Amino acid sequence: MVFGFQGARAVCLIFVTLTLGLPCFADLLTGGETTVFDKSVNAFGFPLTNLPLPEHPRFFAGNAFFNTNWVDASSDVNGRDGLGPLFNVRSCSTCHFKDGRGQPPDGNAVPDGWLIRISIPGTTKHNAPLPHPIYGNQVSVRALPGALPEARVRIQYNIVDGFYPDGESYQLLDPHYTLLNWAYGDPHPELLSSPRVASAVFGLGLLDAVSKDDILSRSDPDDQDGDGISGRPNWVWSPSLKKTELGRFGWKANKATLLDQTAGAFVGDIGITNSLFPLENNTDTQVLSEKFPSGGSPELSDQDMEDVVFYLQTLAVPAARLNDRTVFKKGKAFFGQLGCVACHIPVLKTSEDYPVSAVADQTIRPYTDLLLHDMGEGLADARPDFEASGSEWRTPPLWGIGLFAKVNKHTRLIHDGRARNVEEAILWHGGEGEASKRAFMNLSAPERLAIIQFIERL
Amino acid sequence: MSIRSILIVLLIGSLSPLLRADFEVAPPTPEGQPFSNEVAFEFLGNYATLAWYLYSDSVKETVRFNMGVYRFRKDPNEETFEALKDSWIEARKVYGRTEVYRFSDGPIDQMELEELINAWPIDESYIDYTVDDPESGIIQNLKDYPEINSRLLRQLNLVGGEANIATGWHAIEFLLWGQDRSEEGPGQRKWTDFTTAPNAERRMNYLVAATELLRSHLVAVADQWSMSNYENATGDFFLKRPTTLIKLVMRGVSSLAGRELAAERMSVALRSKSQEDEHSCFSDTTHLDFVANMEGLEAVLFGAFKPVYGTQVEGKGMYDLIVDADQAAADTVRQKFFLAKEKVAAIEAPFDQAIVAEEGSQKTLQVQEAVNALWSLVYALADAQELLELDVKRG
Repeated sequence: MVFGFQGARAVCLIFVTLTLGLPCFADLLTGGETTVFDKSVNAFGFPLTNLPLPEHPRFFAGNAFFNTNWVDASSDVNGRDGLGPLFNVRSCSTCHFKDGRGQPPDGNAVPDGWLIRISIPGTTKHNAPLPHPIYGNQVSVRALPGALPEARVRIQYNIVDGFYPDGESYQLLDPHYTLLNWAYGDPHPELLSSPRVASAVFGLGLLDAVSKDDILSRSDPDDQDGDGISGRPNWVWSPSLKKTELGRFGWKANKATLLDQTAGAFVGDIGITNSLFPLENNTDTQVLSEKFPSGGSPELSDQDMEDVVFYLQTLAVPAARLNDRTVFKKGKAFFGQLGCVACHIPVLKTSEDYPVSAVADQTIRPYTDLLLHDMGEGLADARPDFEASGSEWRTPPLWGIGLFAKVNKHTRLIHDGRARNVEEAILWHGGEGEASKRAFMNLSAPERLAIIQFIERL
Repeated sequence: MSIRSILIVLLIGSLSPLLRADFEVAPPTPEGQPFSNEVAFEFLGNYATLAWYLYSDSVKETVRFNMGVYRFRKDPNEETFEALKDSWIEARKVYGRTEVYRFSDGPIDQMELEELINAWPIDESYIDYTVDDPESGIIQNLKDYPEINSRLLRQLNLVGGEANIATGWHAIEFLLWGQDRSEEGPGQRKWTDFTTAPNAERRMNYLVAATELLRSHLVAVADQWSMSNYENATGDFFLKRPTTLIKLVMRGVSSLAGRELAAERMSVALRSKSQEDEHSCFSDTTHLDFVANMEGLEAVLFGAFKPVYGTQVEGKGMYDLIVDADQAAADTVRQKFFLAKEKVAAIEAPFDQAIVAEEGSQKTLQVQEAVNALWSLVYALADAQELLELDVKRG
């Protein structure tokens, strides 16, 4: 939906208004005026529909960097070198394939789009998790020739059988992770670890543009209204702002800005240094830096970094897809009645003064409050991350969730991808989500299906 | 006669007037619509006709290239290898003209074959050895891939990243030329890579499998536009509303000129100063890609094209539709297109030398001027589209 499609919205507006009435149509406009009408395999890859044409070249420049496979600095390829020495993947698009989301690896395979954060008990002076003295804050599963991957991960699933009150059965996969083959000495005895799937990257500008006050207005840390839902902000250190800020991005809302997130991923996941993180992601104990040439200092120029961030700010959200009006309405009604909307807030506004004007002042439907919630022991990773406890997770946005099957050819959900579909993801809810999950389970089978189908059309 | 065949006959009967280049039947033009329905239908009909000629040309040139691959396999020597490379260049040129049909929700996109036919930029070490990594690639990985065949290559395409490309034009290009490490010319792979070098037999199998796969994918896309294939795209094509079709065609033209040519293939390469960002980087034929893309744009904009295999096609183009609404806007589009065509043609070959040239030098300026001219064309098209008032619903 790159060019000349600004008007698709208008056509749809007329069509849907005539046949269905306005309220339903608004539900489709997940990203307000930025919404893209596309449900193809490229649905996550379009610039904002209202992005002015003169800003398109920057978008595509960022896109190119996002897709580039980085190479070893000893190669004679210029401009895209500096990979590793330790790394998880070679490009952004490996994890965020077609700007979508990752999934856990099969069996013993080396993961793409999935990694393990690690730390040891305690915090840094900025209240961040304390990096492991040897292995840092994530396990690098790949390395350049001459170095060794830090460790290997093995995933085993226990099958958990369960029953709905109406007697229908279901199965969940309960994962167990083992880290083995540590290459640089034994890990710390109190190692903390947390597996994370790579999130989709569309619509991030819109989430970035929701005002801090708006997010904080929904926070209720001590549950003073007694609805069983807390909603806590995660206050995190922002390396780019050099101060503590409200966290918005990541599974535990542990990144405050898109620049923090992007710069951190470049160095942590690909081993590409940048002006925010000028040092490689290996520690002194691993004695690697001297052995391997650098791809420049830093390896990613500021201008390229800005373009990648601009790309992330301006990647559009695809519209919801209304196949069957009755089902959509019914599912939406249940979604409200069951209390899902207490955390998966349907409608937010972006602030008027966001620096990218196409993103500013939009009514969006991300289905998140961007706050932390206790999700119970079943999902807990027992690894605190700034102010997020071991059982707290940020409400993930639900927009575009039904298109992962098309774009990424899988439907794995939850922070580590253990849920194989929307239904299993609902059933994994515990803690503050327990009551809504129970209410879901008590519905009749067709009612449960309606709610699942509603979510899959977002 | 079964019900199905009766339906097909009826369907063909009802659609066939729409599928000829000269339309006799068009619904009356709604009041206030800035362009007439007759012109719109003639333009869309001709667009479908041109698609068939452009894609069937591409199939035929690819078949010739495929024959060259068989010849080289049977009798590998310097001469058959050089002839093969020449025929890749010819086939590639003809393919480049079809790219104007991308980004339009047409068969090439809907069938999800573009990423198997033409994915790019490519990480060559995913396929075969490179200077930096002599052991790399599918070809040298006997352990994981004991047998190389088209099924395997299709499965491996784009696994683990968008640069991990195993199939299509650029994968084959890398097999034929190898890495381009020369300032003057293209990559210098030796034909003996396919006969006596380590893993030569696997490399030859790869070349054959990738070529056969490319041929079959192109046949599948071309078939969708076949004028005798009313169950497929040409029929489907006309199932959409005419205003939607016009917008999709415009999106295709603008995306190829702006997003693909100006942004991804020129600006990005100029910015990164990386030969890796050259489009056809192994064969040094990027300038030919540019020219072929412009020829495809010209065919759709002005409705005329001379197929390699066939006689001149003449009909209405997008330009004629815009003329019908606003002569001045059409003049601007025409002027911007020919300026862009001139600027693109002026880029000196090989393109990789323009990429690595010094900032502000003649070579980089040529590319920058082409980029600017292409974006001006995109802006002119966006203005013209607004004048067509395609989003206004009329009775």
